[in-house]
Order: sequence, then structure tokens, then C-alpha cells
Amino acid sequence: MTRSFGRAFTLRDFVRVASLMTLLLFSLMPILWLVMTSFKTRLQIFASPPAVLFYPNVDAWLRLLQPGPLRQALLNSIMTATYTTIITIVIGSLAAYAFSRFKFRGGATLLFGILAARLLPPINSVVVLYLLATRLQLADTILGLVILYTALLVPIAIWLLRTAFDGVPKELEEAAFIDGCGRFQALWKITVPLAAPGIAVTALLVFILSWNEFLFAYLFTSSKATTIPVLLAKAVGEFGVDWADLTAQATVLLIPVFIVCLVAQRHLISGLSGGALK
Amino acid sequence: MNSGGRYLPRWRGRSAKEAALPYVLVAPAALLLLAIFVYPTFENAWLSLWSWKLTNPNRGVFVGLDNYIQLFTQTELFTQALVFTLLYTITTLVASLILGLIAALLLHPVNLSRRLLVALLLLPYFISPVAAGLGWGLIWGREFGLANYLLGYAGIEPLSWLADPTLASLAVIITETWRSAPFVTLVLLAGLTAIPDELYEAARLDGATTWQEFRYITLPLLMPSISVVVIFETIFKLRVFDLIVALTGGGPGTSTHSLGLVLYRFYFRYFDGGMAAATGIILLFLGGTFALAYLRLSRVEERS
Repeated sequence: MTRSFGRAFTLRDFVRVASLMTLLLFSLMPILWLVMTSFKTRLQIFASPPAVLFYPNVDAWLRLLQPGPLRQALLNSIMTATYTTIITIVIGSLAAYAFSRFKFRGGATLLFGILAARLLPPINSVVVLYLLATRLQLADTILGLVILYTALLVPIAIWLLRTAFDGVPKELEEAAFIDGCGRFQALWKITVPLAAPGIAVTALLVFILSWNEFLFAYLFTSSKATTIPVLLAKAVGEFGVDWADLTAQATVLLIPVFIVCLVAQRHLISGLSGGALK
Repeated sequence: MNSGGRYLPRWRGRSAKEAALPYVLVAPAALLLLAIFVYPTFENAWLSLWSWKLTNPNRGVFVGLDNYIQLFTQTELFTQALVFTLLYTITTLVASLILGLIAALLLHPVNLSRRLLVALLLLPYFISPVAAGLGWGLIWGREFGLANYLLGYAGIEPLSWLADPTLASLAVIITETWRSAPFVTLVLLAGLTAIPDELYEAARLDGATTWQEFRYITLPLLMPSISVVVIFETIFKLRVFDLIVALTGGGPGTSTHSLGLVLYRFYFRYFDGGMAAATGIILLFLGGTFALAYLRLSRVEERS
């Protein structure tokens, strides 16, 4: 369905463009509205009809810079997501490399088992793990969250990384192997650099998913290790909540996602739609 | 599945150490999953047969299937949430399929100039569901919400979206449709890209209409992608938690409680471990049915 240039703009094209614009508006408006609200005064937020055009007010953003609950939560979110990404990529790469390069007894079953494990509802683990985490003093710690998140995300990472390793011709690695490189040297010098784009996309996705994670963070943290989504969810139910502050905090939560979506747009369709997303 | 090549196919000539290598490489991931998901699931099934308190987990009484019987016969909270969860799953699935399919058809083929558009349309799916719930909370507000303002143009009086059980359910369903439709678009776009252009060219030579092209080429060839979406989305929608916590908190009353929220309530509010565990096992069975369907489907794909 390639279309040629210089063709007349038909009614059909018009309907197509108009529908796309409507979809775009529907998709982005709630997000835009959220961001806009963080620049409103209290009066503008509760204005009826809603204030669409207004002079931006940065008070809420200035309040964010002052010491407050957000600072700790932001730090926790960054640390948790970073550690999770590093550990998940390391553990995931080891397994993905094995699944990509070796034929071993039970390998296919093991891969199915790993992919199937993430179809178990995580909340089911909470009943048992909450007792365990309390006993092991891992409740309300970043370490505890990182362990849970790594388990949550390692199956997707393995799935995507295996595809990345599959894309590197084995001959290159074998050549290095024959030239006297050890297996791990060949892996490090040949395979990893060539699979780097796939590894990077996987890392970005893992980072975003752990950055957004809510269920475990909500149930396993109470104060010290609270992440931004938990901070937001707890504030939203409170009486007399300041919506400008809350939406400014929510915008902070969105910024990395905006960046990743724009940076990795090229890979969004090709890399992530293999059915293993989420 | 096209593998880039698996070398060292014969193990007999190699040392035992070499043969053990793949197992060693897979072990960290496998053991972690075993500890965090597999073991707790089984332990949970066992714990669901006991009556025990979170405040005193060591002193339980074995009650067999009593917790399950109680869930279905004595707790309106559970049955109401079961109905809501199923309603939510089915309606949001159908709505996001339709919306996602339309978006995918409009966006296909994705070329350089449309790439940014695709990235923007995918945003709702990638942002935190908590932020999504919070953002839509502003839209559903009674006095200052955008929804009532826009409905005002149609002459509809302001509605108390989040204070009325039916409207709150509808608000949750619309919000989730908005959030999950991009995933459908993403998968279906990949499916559309795989359909050869020759089929459309041949159909056009035969004088097929656009509708006939859609009905007899696009839709049948898109079916595998659609079933992937249906199975995945069903599994993940059944366990909804974050979006509802941020949007309605499960309210008004308990009208928008999903099974996940019920489990939370039993465990962290009533400290009733047995009932929480039983709720989790029912959630597992609901999702498990679809998970098995998925595994069968992917096994078939792997073989072909």
C-alpha cells in the first residue's frame, strides 16, 4: 500500500488525517492536561469552565525543589530502577545467551517455564513474600524492591535479549574463538558490542517498567523505600490535596518515559511488538 | 523462531564442565523466578486452606475449602469484585481492540514521517498507570472536570462520575481503554507489516472494494496478532490494581474493587491471610486458563 507523491488530496485522505488527529488528541490530552495542571494556581484548577489558556505559574515546581517527601521518593525511584536494570540485564543476558547459543537438554522447557512464570499474578506472591520480607528485614528496603523487580522483569529481558543475541552471526564469535579468544573474551569483544542496540532497548524498557512499578512498591514499602508512584497514590486519597503539587510530582514521573519514547521510537515497533511486551 | 545459530551441538566430545555451562548461565534467573513467583504460588495454595491472621501467622487452623466457600457465599465484597473484574476485563478488551485496530489501520504503513506520530500515540501505554489514573481523575471531577465541561456542550448536566457506582465503573473502563489501546495498535501494526502487498494488489486487480480487502485479507491475516493481544491483555487486565487505586481507590464504597484490591483489603485491612490467599488462587485460576491458551498458541508458533 505505497502511495505515490503528487497525488491529489482526496476525501479519503482527509478522513484519514482527521481521524488520526482525533486519536492523537484523545491520546495526548489527558497527559497534557495533567502537565498543564501543575502550572495552575489553586483558583485556576477549580475554575469552571476549566482554564485552558492561562499564564503558567511555577509555584508548584519551585516547591518541588525544596526538601520534601518527593526528594527521598525520587532518589528511591532512581536507585531502584537503576539497580534493577543493571542486575536484570546481567542475569538476563547470561540466560539469554545460553538459550540463544546452546542446545541443551531441557532448554526449551526451561525457556517456556521462565516465560510462563511471569503469567503468574504477582499479587499472589505478596501473601507469602510479605511475611518472608518482614522476617528477613527486607520490607521497606531498596534491596527488597530490587530483588522483586528483577524477578518481575527478567523474563521479558530474556525474551528480548535472546532475539538480540540471535541476530549476531555465530561465525563471528567462532572466528574469534578460533583466533585464541576464550569464550568469555569472544562474548565480551564480539557478541556484546554487536548486540548492543538490542541490549540498550531492553535496558530502557526494564528501566521504565521498574520506574513505573506500583504493586510491589505499594505493598512492600511504608516510608524509607517509598517510590514516586506510591507517594502519588497515597496523596491522591488525602483530603485537601494540593493538585498542583501532585501533578508536578506526576510530571516528574512521566519525564523519563517521554524521553525514552522519543529516543527509542525507531525501535518501538520493530523491537517490542514480539508479543512479549509488558 | 529464527535463531542466529546454535553451535557446539554435540556434547559427547566435551568436558562435563562445558556441558554444565548453559545450566549455570540460566541458573540465576531460574532460581530467582522459582523463589519469587513459583514457590510463593504453591505456598499460597496451601495457605488458602488455613484460617490464619497476618498478625499471628503461626497459629492457624486447617479449614480445607472453607475460605473458598465463604468467599462465594458470605462475602458480597468478593462476588461484587469478581463481577466487576470480569466486566472490566471484557469491556476494556473489546473497546481497546476496536480502537487499537482503527489506529493501526490508519497508521499503516509506518514510514519515517509517521514514526513520531506512532511514538506519541503509544505514550498512554508507557506512562505509569498511577499517573494515568491521577490525570484522568482531573478529567472526571464533578465541578472542575474536563469531561463534564465537554458534555456540557451536548447539553448534559454535570455528572458525579466518581461518586456514583455505575459512572465510576464506566470512568475506570474508559480510562483503561485509553491506556491499553496503544498496546493493541503496537502489536497489530507489526501484524499489518507482515501482510504481503501482493495480496492487496491482486485483490485490486480483481476489483475488490476497500471493505472486501479488509474483510477477506487484512482481518484473517491479522487473526494471529489479535489472539496474542486477547490472551495477553486478558491475563494482565484480570490483575488490575494500580490504575484503580490511583483513580477511584476502589470506590465509591467498594463498587470498583477488582480482585487484586479485594486481596489487598483482606490482607492489609482485615489481616485475614486465609481469605487473601484464597482470593489470590481464584485470580490465578482465572488467569491460568488464559495463560495455558497462550502457551499452547506459542508452542504451535514455535514449531511452525
